[in-house]
Amino acid sequence: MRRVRVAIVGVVLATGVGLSAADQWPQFRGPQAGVAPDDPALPDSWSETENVIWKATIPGLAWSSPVVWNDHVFVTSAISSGTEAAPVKGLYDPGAEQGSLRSSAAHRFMVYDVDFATGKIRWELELRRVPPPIAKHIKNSFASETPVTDGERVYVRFGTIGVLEAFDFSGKTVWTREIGAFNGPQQFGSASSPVLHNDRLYLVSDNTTESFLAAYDKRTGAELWRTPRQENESWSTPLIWENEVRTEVVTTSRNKVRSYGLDGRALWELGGMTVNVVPTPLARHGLLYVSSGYPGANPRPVYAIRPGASGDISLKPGETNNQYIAWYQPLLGTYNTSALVYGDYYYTLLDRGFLVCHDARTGREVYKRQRISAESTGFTASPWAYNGKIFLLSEDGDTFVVQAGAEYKLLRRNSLNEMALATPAVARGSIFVRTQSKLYRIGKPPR
Amino acid sequence: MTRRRRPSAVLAPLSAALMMVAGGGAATAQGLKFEAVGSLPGPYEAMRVDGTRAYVGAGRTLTIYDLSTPATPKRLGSYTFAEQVWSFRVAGPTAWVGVNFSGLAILDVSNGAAPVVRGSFKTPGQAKAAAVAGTKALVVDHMEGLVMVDLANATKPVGLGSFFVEGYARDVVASGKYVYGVDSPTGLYVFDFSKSGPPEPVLSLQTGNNLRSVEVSESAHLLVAVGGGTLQPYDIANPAAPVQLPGYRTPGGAQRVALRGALAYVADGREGLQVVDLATPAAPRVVASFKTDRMARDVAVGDGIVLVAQGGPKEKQDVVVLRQIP
Repeated sequence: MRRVRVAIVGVVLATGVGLSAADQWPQFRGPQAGVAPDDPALPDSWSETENVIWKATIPGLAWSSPVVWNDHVFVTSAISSGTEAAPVKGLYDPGAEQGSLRSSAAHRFMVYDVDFATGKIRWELELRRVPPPIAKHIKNSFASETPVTDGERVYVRFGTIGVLEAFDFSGKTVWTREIGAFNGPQQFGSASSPVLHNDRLYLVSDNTTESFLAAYDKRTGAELWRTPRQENESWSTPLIWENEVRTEVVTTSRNKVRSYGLDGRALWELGGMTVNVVPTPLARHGLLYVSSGYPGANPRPVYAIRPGASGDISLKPGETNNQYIAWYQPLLGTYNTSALVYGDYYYTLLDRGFLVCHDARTGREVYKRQRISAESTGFTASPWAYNGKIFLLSEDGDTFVVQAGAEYKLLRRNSLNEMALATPAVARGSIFVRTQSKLYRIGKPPR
Repeated sequence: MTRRRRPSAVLAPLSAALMMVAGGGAATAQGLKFEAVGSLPGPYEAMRVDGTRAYVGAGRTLTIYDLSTPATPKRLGSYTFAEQVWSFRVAGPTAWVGVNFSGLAILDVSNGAAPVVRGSFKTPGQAKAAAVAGTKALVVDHMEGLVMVDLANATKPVGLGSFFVEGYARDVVASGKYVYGVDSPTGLYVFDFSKSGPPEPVLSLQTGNNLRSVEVSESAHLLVAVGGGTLQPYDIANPAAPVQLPGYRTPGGAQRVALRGALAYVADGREGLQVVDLATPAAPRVVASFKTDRMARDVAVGDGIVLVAQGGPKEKQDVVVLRQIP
């Protein structure tokens, strides 16, 4: 009897029958900005061997995140045919050239479909084999955009080669669009991921050549509209904000946050952002949270924004709120990590290894900066949460587990002993952690 | 900003210091002149003068020159570290060197022909600069902030903790028992090294000037930071509580500064060397200048000599040795 039940579960997993959207992790940070549904099957301890269901070697270098749909785990990569400068951990100063590097070696721009159950690569697809036409920051990769999927197709952007492409789940190309390989003024490369909403795919490309926000028909790839933008550099993924008033496309970039209607029309804007905007906006408790935090800038803002705004909602000098800005923290923004709102709290993972907690609704400080570990070199992956715990993946490949709530308490550290910058995915009792060379499926072994 | 001292209280010590440095009579500052007498080969990334020696850091190497005869600098020796030298300070027989991810190196330079590392301390991130007061060092670490190190046993330095600065820690300088650190964009931090325990500033000032480097003149009770092309002086008559003075934007955009009394020798970009008299804090004025061939990026001052490093990142780089004409 028991054997039969296991077999049925296996069939369900393999076919995806009975799985809901909540069981999937279709985009960067998942459907709830890093918050996964509670699940007693999810472990909170692991190592290179403990609670590892499988690990797969993914060639090349990519800081894009895995996405999961039914029995498919999709990842991208860029595989160099030459020798590239190795990425260095930590928030470090790359020196006179500011870390911008070109590569003359041909790269294979790849998409992999990894089997959820076994970790075997089901199919792989080479989109292009060319030298990257644009430079990147030494710590960036040429495949930093996370794919997005709707369960029928997977949509992949490689900003490095200016390609947006859709595949079906068998690896067959459905459509391709050449959107241009553009760079910003600092030549740091690309990272903003595409996002899906209903039948459309939205994409931001901020660069010095032709900045735009565009919407595409997800079935055909036809460009439905394109709105020019004044921003020339960002790595932030836009947010589709479904709020009580309307649905908006929120973009954060150098200097300005801009929100657009689903027709591409500008709704409102907000000044005061830093340069080098990476964190992705998120929404919770009826508020939109946007931030930026280049460490050499002041202020490094976090704004909590109410829906319904129009025009310029920027704070005037001395203001900390207004009709649409519920609260503002001038020095809370992070450089690379995106914030986590879990329960009543807004958690900030500072890149240099501190966790700070604020009341998500009011911005009131709940606890001050807490040092996570004196040995950590830095944090780039965004935090995630489930089962009353917060998970913080360092660039060393250590995941620090912290209890959620008003009191900071470090519970444990799980080490994979390899550099990690990609934000993990969580789906159906498993965590998918991507390190520099491997993709782990972490989960409790079947009993 | 915080409180301001009465002008007379500020001016008196500064004027006295200026007279000391200039050999008597404030008017001599107006008569400063320089002539180029020699040069040191580039490239360079950091530069100091201590006594009759020049120390030049370039890449992984710190090179020592004898400047006894400024017109013909003599290379004494060098030391090549495992990684890039970001910056260093020298006092007599010892140089404290920020060696990237390798950390702080304590370099014995007593024999200029054969410098030797006596000890080192690995900080968590990139060590970029250091200042020493007594037996303790404060190390600039790009990732960690400011790291305190016990150097009582130079061969086995011991970490004493760190202080996280809001921005990027940039530079530190010591004066007596106080060590001053700057970060960009936030400001200035004051540490009292006579206190035990991990580093905790006794004062921090928010300036917003994007400070990059800092130097001190004990005789003039002046601390001068450089950021955003501007000199940002502080009165440190009370060394525990610096008072921010008006900033001064130099003609070319200050890159770095060296102090002698109340005179600020400024590597002033395309404007070469500018000497700014800070004796009257409310009215800084350029009292001398020297046009370099290329962008002036760093400066160091010795007795009667000034070294100006010239050449931008994509230009020929070298160091001009200037003699101060009496």
